Amino acid sequence: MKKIKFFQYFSLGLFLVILGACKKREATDWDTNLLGPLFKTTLSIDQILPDSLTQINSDNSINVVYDDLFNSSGFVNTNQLPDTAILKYFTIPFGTIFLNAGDNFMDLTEESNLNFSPLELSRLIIKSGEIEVKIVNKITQPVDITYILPKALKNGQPYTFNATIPAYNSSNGGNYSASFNLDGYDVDLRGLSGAFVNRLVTHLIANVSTSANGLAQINSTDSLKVSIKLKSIVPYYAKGYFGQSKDTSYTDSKLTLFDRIVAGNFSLQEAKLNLDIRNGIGADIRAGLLSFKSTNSKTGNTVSLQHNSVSQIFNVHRATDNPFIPSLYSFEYNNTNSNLVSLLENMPTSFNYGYYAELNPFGNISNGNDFVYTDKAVEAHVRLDIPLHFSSNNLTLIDTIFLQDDSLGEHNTVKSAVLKLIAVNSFPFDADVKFYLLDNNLQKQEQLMDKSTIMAAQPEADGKVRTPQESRLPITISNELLNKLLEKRKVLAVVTINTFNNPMKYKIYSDYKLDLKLTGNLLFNVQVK
Amino acid sequence: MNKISLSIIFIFCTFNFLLAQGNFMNDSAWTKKHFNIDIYGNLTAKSNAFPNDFYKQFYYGGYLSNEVKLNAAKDLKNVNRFGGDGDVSIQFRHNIDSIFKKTGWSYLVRIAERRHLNLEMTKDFFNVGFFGNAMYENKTAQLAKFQMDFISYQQAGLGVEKTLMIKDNLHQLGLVGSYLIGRNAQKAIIDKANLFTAIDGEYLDLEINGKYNRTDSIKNKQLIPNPTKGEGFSIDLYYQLITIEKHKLQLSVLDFGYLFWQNSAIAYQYDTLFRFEGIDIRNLIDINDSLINLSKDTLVNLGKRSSTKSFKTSLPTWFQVNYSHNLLPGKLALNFVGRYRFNDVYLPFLAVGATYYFNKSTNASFNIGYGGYGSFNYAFIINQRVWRYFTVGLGTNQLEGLLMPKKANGQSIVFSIKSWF
Repeated sequence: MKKIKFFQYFSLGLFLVILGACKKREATDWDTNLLGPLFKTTLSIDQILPDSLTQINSDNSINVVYDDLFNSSGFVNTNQLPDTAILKYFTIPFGTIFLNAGDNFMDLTEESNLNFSPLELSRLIIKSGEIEVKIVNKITQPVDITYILPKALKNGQPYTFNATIPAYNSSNGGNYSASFNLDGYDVDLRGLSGAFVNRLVTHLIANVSTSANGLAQINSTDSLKVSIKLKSIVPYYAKGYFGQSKDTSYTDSKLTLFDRIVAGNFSLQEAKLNLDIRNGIGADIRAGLLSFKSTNSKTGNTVSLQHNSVSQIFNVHRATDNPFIPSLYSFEYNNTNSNLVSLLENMPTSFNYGYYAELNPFGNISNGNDFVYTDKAVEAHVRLDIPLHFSSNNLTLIDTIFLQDDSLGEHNTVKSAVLKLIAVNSFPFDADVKFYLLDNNLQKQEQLMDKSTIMAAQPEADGKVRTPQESRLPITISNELLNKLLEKRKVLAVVTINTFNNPMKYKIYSDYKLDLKLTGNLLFNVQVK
Repeated sequence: MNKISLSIIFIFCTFNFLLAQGNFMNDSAWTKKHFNIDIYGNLTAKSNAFPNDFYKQFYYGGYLSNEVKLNAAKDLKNVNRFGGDGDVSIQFRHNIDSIFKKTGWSYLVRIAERRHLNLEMTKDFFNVGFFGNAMYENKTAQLAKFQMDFISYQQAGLGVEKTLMIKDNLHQLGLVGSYLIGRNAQKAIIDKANLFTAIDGEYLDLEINGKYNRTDSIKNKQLIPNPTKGEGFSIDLYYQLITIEKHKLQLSVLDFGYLFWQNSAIAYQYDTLFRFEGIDIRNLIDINDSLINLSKDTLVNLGKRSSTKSFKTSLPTWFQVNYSHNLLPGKLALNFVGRYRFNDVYLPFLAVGATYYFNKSTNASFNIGYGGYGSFNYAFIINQRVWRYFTVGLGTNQLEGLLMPKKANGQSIVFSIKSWF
């Protein structure tokens, strides 16, 4: 009996062990110290500055070149002519008549004034635009109309459109509405006699529609109301007299180039600005640059351009047509004739400039032969050329890094990290790197790590670096700090740059680069499900 | 008492011993009953290095503390092995009086669910996996040879046995053929894997040569195994001799066969010398964009992957020799076991032991063995006849796992319910 009990107890024990074996499984995790490279990158000039802004010289030094072309229709407001409406009310000039289908009852040629003031245009070649037509027929039969602009030609043919206007009935007038394209039409605006300006000639032909049912009775009270509107007319070419006008304007132009620089300064060896102005308007212009200032709103410093072109009013001669020859004017601003370098070293947040312009200062001396080709009216070609040859003193740049959710998805298992930044630098400046945690309002919170300095490479006697400098910078991120980083996800990077042997200026060459490698000894939590 | 009666007593005395070895063996040769149903279950794990505390916690989950890992690491060998089996089977046997005027024939039908894992790893592999590679700064960690096999499958078998008496000695031959339905498999063989960690982790050099096959883990979640995913066959072949002088010898080859994994099989082939220097951020100015595009595959996808490549798994096949001598009939029997498992990290295993009979209904066995997945192991089994037709057996192949559950290197539970009628 005792043996039986022994067996029962033993069985019970094993049964409990089996139950234990049936315990529900869950994920297993453990901590492990992983040591290895995380990221690597190379920072070179072509990453900092786009190719379009850099020019590599024969000695491999680099110039920053800003090259742009500004177009303007200039002082003649022909970008888009004002919409102009013409309303015509045609009544039947005789008493009651009866007409068969197809019979003509109206054939009128007229001219209408277009309100393009102050422009007095005699000719207009339309680049784009349309004519909107609305017709109300008060006649009780449908009417076929042909509407012609006899002096608006394209490929030698006048502009023409045909339409059938529905018959009038008491509940609903015979309304017609449509828009037609006028692109490419050459319009003579001199009227029927050819002696005026801003006058559009129209020709209306109206017949009882061939689809009319029986005889059409037309009374003296019946009418056709025709409304046409020239809409969104953009000229390719305009000719006439453009009038006289004066304009003095002061403008702020914001500049973001130096937005990330918050402190320090740099000193440029040289800079050059070329300004080429090309006047393609067939009208006289008197113009001048009243002022040009570089303003740094962060420091409050303003530097005014000093150059003999400032505050001088000069005459810009008119271009000639047939053949078209624009008038050209060139200016150069450099170290010797201006303080351009000082303007740039001010690290402007905006340029403020004022100009004066006067159109046709001598009146209508062309006898109505002013002209403009709107796509080649006034062109200003600006070329700013800055050799990357400078020194910097505590030049401090900031950037905000927003860590995306996705980028941290796999990082939440890192409990702490001892990182090491391995930098191989061939630039002749060192860089102090600091990172700060930002709160939700992008305000600076605690510093993520101690200041670390990427050491400058030492240039040789000719000013060129041939041996890069290696720096190994430890970065410790505690679990607490890592959690804050994961929570806030916003980091402010602050980089302070000092050139080697400041204030010596050094050129930057195209083969300079900064190789960065971030390695980590991560306390990593591995999870196996 | 005639030979048959003696034999019946003998087989009852040795049954527990056979059970404790956790493998198929039958006693149909010595019974007059016509029908027999066996239910058998086995859950066994054994290692030559890892303590129970470690792999139990690894299996059941939760946080593996440094203490647990250090405890596992302190006994690591140059080659560390682990093996585990989980089996459940039910078998029906019919002893036929005569068929075509022939006697001594029986047939059997068996279904089983089997899972098996075996792996072999270096000390460095364990260290890198559980402590990280930081401890190998400016050193090379030798991660190979690494071998792992995991299979899960169902088995449906049909067999025949022939029992005959020759010169008063009883001979039995058996053959069981089984159709296998694969459920899940993973197979890794890495012959060479050296990981060099540079100072400060500036770079990692990995030289690796190996391959890894697995079935699609998503499709593995299906409850009902899919024969189109994996199927195969296996055979059991065994011979038993029982002499009138109370000697018993059994020779068996069990689970000899293959599983072929067709659909949803994924293969990785690694043969590369790879230097990893970090994720390359093409443009630091757009660092956020670069980070978003990071992919886990960047780090792990070093080899070629073929999603359609089928593979074959050779079943871990037992070759087993059992010998037993009934020293004091009805009281004490001496046992000897020798076994080897092919296609596995198993080492030759030898065990000796004894069985004591408390009475006709109760007996217990104790064996001491060496080899297999570990070194020493101790088996204990107790059998009890309950009611009239049933014998229930409970035991363990790793008694040390019950006595010292944290420190021992193995754990095992086996049970059986056997009925003759």
